[in-house]
Amino acid sequence: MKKEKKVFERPFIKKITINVPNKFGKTTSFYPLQEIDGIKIKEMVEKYGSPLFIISEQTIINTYKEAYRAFSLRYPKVQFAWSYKTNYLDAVCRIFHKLGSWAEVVSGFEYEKALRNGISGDKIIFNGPYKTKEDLIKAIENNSLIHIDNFDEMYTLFEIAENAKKLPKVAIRVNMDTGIYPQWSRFGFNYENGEALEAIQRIMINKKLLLVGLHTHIGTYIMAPWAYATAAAKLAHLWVLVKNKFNHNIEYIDIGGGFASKNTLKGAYLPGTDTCPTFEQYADAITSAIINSNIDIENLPLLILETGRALIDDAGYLIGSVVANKKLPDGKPALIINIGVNTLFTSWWYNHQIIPVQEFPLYSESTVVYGPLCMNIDVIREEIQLPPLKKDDLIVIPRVGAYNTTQWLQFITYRPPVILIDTNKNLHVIREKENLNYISSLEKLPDHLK
Amino acid sequence: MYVKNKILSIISGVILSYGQVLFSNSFLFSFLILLVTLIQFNIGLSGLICTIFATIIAYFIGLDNYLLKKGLYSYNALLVGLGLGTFYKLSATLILILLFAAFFTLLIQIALQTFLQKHNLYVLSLPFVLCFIIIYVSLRNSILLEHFENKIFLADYYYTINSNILSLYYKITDNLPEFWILFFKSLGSIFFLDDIISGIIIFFLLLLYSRISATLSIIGFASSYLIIYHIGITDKIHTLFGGFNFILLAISVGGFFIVPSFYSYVSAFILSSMSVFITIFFNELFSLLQVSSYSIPFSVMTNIFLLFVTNLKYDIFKIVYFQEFRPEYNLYRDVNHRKRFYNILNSIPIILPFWGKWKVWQGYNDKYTHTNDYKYALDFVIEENNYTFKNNGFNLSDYYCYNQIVISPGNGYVVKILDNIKDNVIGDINTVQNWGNSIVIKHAEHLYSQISHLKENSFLVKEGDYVYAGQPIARVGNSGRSPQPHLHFQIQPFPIIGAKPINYPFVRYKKYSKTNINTTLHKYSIPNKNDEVENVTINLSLSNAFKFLPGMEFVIKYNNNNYQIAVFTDSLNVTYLYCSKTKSMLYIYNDYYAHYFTNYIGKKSSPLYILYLSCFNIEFSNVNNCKTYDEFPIHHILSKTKLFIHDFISPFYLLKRAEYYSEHQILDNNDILIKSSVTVCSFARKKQKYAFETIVKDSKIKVIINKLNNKSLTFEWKE
Repeated sequence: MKKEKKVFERPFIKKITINVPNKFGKTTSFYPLQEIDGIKIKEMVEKYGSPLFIISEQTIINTYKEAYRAFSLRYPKVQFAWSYKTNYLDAVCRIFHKLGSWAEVVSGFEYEKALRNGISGDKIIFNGPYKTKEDLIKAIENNSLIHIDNFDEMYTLFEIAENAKKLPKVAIRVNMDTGIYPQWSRFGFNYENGEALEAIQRIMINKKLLLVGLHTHIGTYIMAPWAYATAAAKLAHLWVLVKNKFNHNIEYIDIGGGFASKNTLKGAYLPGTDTCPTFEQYADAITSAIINSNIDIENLPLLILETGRALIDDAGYLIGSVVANKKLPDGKPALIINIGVNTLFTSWWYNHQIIPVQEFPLYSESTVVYGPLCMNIDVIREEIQLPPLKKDDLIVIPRVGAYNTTQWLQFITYRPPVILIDTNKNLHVIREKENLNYISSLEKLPDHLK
Repeated sequence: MYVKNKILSIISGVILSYGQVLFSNSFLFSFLILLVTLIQFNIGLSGLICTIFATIIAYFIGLDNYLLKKGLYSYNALLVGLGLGTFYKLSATLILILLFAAFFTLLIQIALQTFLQKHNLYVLSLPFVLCFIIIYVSLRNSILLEHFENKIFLADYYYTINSNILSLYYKITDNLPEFWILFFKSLGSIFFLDDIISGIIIFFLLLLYSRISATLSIIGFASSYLIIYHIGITDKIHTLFGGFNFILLAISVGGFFIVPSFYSYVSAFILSSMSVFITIFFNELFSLLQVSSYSIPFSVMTNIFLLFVTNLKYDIFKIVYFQEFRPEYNLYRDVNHRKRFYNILNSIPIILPFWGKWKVWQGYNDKYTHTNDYKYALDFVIEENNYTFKNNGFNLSDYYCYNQIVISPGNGYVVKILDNIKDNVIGDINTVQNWGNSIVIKHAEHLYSQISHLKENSFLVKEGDYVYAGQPIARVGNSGRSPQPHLHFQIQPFPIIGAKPINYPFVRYKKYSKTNINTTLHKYSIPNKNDEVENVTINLSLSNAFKFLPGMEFVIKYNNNNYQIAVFTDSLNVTYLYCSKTKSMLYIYNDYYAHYFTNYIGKKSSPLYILYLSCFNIEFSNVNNCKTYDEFPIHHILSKTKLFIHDFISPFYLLKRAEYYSEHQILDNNDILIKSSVTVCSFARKKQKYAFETIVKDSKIKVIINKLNNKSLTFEWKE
């Protein structure tokens, strides 16, 4: 029998202190992550290569249920709408639609994708500041909910509505001061200066459009649930104004998205896992603001939530491997991994956690993690406590479900495949690894260069 | 217009008086009876004159117009008039006396009515008897009045009219068995027409009007006839006006005041035979005054029996609450009404005390604590993947339902709050403060809801507050006898915490199927153990479309005609639609979750009838594929001729049913399409009689299309 070779551990020096341990303890506070949903990461890498995106259907379902439960236990009419821009892989969208989510799209492309995913037109919310006339006509034909962003868009809609066979169903996007910084003022009509009310009045008096909703998107990664309470209260106030003035019941209030996920923002003092509010906290703030408003309980509007990040972030994992170890001139250890900022786009604003897959020793040291790109800016983490890792060791970056598979760049390397682990622990490739043919398929060579 | 209405209601009152004597309010029937009474012209005319007097007097002293139009003030005067006409020839003096008699009868009737109504008794024909005996006895010695003798020499009288009638008369009396001769005579004598021919005509009119009344009249008479023969007092049956008491008693008890059924028939049979003794007794008693007791036995026995019935524990006998003035209709309506609205009408709606999906942990009559006195209580928890908690479940916050919002299950006042009891550690129970933090809300007299085991200091309301259904009131905790966080809910008749609960259903809730995908709507029911349930929400634009508020007006276009419809509320606070053109009325009930039409009065040609058929029961719930099944009173769907044979057996078994079905779907343009149909089932055969499509646009009913003939009703609403 061949004797197994002992694992080599790179030596490093650590200063021994003899005073009492400080409040952060003395060892690394994390453990290796060897499997996802009961499936060994090593096996998946052997099969599909590295780097590799993994999405866990079970996590999506659990998170969705948790969020839905939090709201539905507090409010009689709740509807989630899947924010396509957060992750529009067909498989992911369909998981959400299967769970009961509508679709929230912000462009003609996403709108087509939503239709192709089998969701009926009246369950698509068409958001965003840029909708072409063709997009709008199509949305009206499909009875989709059009969220008007600006007066020019409204005029276009009035113009289309003249000849349209159907009454366009629209909502007003409202921006407002919710007491947080930064105040998002670019989407929709302002609440405080009366622009929103003016927009509503134009719609109500014109009668060419059917006002069915009020929408706001107060920001992203909002850690303050009370900001949503302010937003909900202001929308509820608009609802009551419309009811009093026009005796019109607006069908829904759309509070937008922006719930924080457990990722840690760059510059944050405490980790996101500790500071991120729970769905219950958001739900408490939003629902109690509406229930305590002047809207009579019998007419409570439908509450729509466009939460994207908080629903999907936890379900995504990115697996990579160590390319090389390096010592920087200042003596700091550095690690090169095969995941770059082009693949892990969210590393621009998150301090992503990086967890080794294999067992590691007790001690860790401050390390810089670089990506594989030949670009100086390709830094995944400027500073992270990591145990010593060798070439070809695997690492996992958790909570990458949101925005990465939509904002990633095809740059220098091929983009990795995306694997879905379904509820029965079967693996499915939901996006193949890119290859040369795919990338050059849209390219055309002029004759003289052939 | 006003004068015309005045005259119309007087004419209606006069004519219907004739029908009322036989418990009918049909014009045709009443008018034919009127004609029958005129066969013996003197009797008939004096009856008519007295009725006219009574109705006019009643009108001018301002009695209730509705009762007046129904002839309920003048039928006693009619009987007095007929009676006086039997004894005296019509003359100026008699007319004067009739005027006096009419007024006098009215006085007595109102006096008696005022007195008896308080005790749930009916005057029936008591005023007639009292008034008639007083006048008859006091007039006995009048020298101005000429006695009328046709009654005694009936054959002569027939001869004076026509010799053929006389031969017919003899032919009948010679060939008919004694039972039938006596029966027809008795029937005629209700109107003081003591001859066979009138009796036969009245019987056939009665048969055409109501099969049940006709059957009962034979039953009543037969039972008394049997008893008389078995006891051996045969001579008594020939005593003047004796037989009709049994007939009237059988009809009133067997089908008019009590819903016709096997038991009502049996009781009609028994009571009629019992009243033989009473009739003889009263006759003997009144013979002191040398008069008959007339209809006293009938009036007395009916009241006695009705009082008896109201005190019975089991409802073998169902009292008629909405009088249709036709026993068949009373039956069809009652059976239908019980099926549709048993425990529903005007009940206080109670919803589940939470939003979202919860599971029944302990149901009614469960094996742990919901037993014996506390069997009518429910415990709720939230479960996910068969666990009520996440992580290891050692902490309260691991439990899905802990700290969740509790809502008020109905409108009402908070009458009691118990707070400041600490939450138990998981697994512990606090039997000293058994109920934990609790709240009691008063929804109505003797209808309180209690919610227990709440979180300490989590109350969002205080004692004395008025709360609305759906308003958050507290949060779920783990206080009192609660090993893990859960919600205890019960309805009780008293405001004390821990009062013995009662069985009370939830107005609506949806239940999840095992796969958690489909939901079924449950109306007025109670969830069972392990059911996963959630409150339902309603489609507001659908519910607004069926919100008929008094004062609303709209126009229905139908068959190129415009019909003005207005919404009214009557003195019993029942809302109805009224079509002035067709004089039809459509009664409405709305329990917030659904719209019901409860009754329709009027012609079948009216557009309101189409509205009645198409929108009989509309459920507003937003539950997917929500289908509504209901049933019409059969006489609203099938014509009288089609039910002629059916009526005879209907008290024992209903062969025919008219089923209603509706479902709604939201169309692309936000309109709502309601598909409904009416199917008549007789035996196993089903036949669709109507199919409708109703379109609701902008929270208003827009159009109803009859799919079978493609006629449509178009609605125009006034702003």
